[in-house]
Amino acid sequence: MKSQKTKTKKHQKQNQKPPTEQGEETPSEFAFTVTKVAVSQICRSVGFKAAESSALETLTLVAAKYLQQLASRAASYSHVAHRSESNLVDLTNALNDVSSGQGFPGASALNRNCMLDSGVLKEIAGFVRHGCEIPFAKPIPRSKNAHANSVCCKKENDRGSRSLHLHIPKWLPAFPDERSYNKECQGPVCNRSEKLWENSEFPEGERFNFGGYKWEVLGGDLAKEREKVRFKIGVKGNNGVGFGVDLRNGVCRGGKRVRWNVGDVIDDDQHCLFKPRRSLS
Amino acid sequence: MNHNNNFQQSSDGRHDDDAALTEFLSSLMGYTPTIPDELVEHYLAKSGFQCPDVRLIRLVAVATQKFVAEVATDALQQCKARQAAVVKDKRDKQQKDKRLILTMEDLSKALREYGVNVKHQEYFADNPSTGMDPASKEE
Repeated sequence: MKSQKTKTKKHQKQNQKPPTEQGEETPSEFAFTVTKVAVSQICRSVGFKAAESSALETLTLVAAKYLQQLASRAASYSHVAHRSESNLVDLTNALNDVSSGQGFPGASALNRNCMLDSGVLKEIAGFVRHGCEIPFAKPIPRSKNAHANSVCCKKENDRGSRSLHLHIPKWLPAFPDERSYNKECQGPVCNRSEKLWENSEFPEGERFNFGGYKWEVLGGDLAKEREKVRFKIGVKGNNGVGFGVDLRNGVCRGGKRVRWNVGDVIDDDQHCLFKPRRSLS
Repeated sequence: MNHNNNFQQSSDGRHDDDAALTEFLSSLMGYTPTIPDELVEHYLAKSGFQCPDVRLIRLVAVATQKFVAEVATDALQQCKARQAAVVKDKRDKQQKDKRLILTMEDLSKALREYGVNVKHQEYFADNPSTGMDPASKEE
């Protein structure tokens, strides 16, 4: 019966795309259902023969809350210690906190003893040693999305590129994709999904018509050494009516002036709405 | 790796405990908790817990499993105690109902010890005999 239950669930997961459709499960619902199966397995191992569905759901909710509470406490301990990854000490602290309501051996002398010499850990070790192992009814396929979003996995991949730059300290964030700053790496292979978000709407380097104007969109890749660029706004240009703002005060203290001539935009030969124009003055 | 270092630094002169803990952690590698790793990872990621170490994920799973098992055991004791409290002559008639069923009543009593106050509507759909008067229940 149990295996049947999981089978239907898996079927639902495969079809799970838009959560708005009827009969589909959102990821949290799916997680809840999987937890319910696990909890019912535990209940059966304890000795129950059957369960009221409301009672089972309540116990499932409590179990999920317990897990999340444990995780968030451990995460907050690691954040207090200026770490992003949690370790055993954080988890032990969290376990001590969570089980302090019921009490455990050695709870009174937590500060005196070593943190890892915790009664809770020993109880869990005893549970593992003496309890029988009940694996989950069915293996769950790991979702590909979770892998892509997982920070840990990303870090693992970064280590390869990091080995090239040993002088860079480990705590610095990883370099962006090499294609975003190195022109030699760019080519027809360039994958659209890996572009900068600024360019995500427009195909790179293409001209296209938008609102009567032809716009040229430049790529987001910046050369390492660039010329100094000056912008000018509010100065009458050579071939068009200029308009703009004087940026000398307030935000732009550098005294840079930005220039944008309307004539340039309409002109067929120089489509440069986004292209910074080298200033003449 | 990280926590192993911490572990070694912070516990000099406690070799027995250290050895036991190390052994326990390494035994988690071969242990399959009832709560699957994927599910635990989902909840951990939701709560902002980052850790590449499988052993810690298993530890969280085992801790949760232990908690659920304890609550369920308490509920089972409540259930047995309730059934034992019935007067002897009635017991034969209720033999049918003596199956061990996880009910809201027992669960809420068990959870109260863990600081969870459950006040849940007992749904009529849970049990066909709910709401009937006790006399007709026995028949």
